[in-house]
Amino acid sequence: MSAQSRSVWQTALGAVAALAVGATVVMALFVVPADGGRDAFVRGTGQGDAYRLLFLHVPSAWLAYLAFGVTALASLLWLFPRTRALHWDLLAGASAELGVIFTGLTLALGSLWGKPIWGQWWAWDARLTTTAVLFFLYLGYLALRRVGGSPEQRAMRSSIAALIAFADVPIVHFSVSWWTTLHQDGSVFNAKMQIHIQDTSMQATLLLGVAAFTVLYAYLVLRRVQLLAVEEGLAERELEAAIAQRVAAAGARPREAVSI
Amino acid sequence: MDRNWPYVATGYLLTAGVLGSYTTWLLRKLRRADRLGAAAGGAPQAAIAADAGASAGERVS
Repeated sequence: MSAQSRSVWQTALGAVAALAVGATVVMALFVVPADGGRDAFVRGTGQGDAYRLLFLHVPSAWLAYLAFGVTALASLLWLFPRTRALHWDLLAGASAELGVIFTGLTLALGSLWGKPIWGQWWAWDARLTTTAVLFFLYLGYLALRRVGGSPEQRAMRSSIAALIAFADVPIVHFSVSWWTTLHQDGSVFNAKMQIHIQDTSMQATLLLGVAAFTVLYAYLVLRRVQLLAVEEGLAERELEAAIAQRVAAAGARPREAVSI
Repeated sequence: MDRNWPYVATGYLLTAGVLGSYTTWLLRKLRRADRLGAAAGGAPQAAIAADAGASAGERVS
């Protein structure tokens, strides 16, 4: 694929993401009805307008799972000798960064929803606590990536850390089934895979939100990987320039200086 | 909108702010890196970043 066609394709992906996210916001704020508690939800939650936050909260949570899943998969591909290549490490780093952003949004949006519905900003509930742990685990992962060393050393240590951190994802997801929690079970399907939301426009908006955020993630992770690749290329050139400068200053031949 | 609209508005504005800021930051950095790469006389961004493989995709033993 030529650079020009790649650029057109990426611009199109970005435009689709922007349009889809915009459509989700319009649907969520102006099209779907307020939750009256009679027909919309099986359990008749009667949340009024506060439930509109869930059209961002649920896609954000899904994106966090997806992003950390991609990070774990890319880390595995780095660790497996037959597929080992540095672009898997760049993908893992880019995806983890987005995962942290979406996990942070999930927590913030959940908190904003919790205040009017639960009467409190935060509860030490299993789902909330394990999600907060997930957020800090991947913050630690991103910090670990910034520790010095060669790209290969960074990739090795961060791949192992990513797989350890990913162990929390199934714990977050199944926490509402394993423990009695304040947080409700699945927003679309409950634990018995029964559809939780009855209103068609609510279902459509939620699915649109999930699709829109997924496209946005694809666009952002692609561009972030590109930036990381460019930065690594620039860093290598800066290092080569610094070595050449020192070699020139010492008046030695490059090969001898490097071997010392 | 009922009395919960401040929470809803805050949530939507927060999301727009976070995702908008990140996207703007990312695209600005990409443009800047592109300019720096060209100014340094190295390969342009497209060549360096070609499917994240031109510079970083080589097999590492």
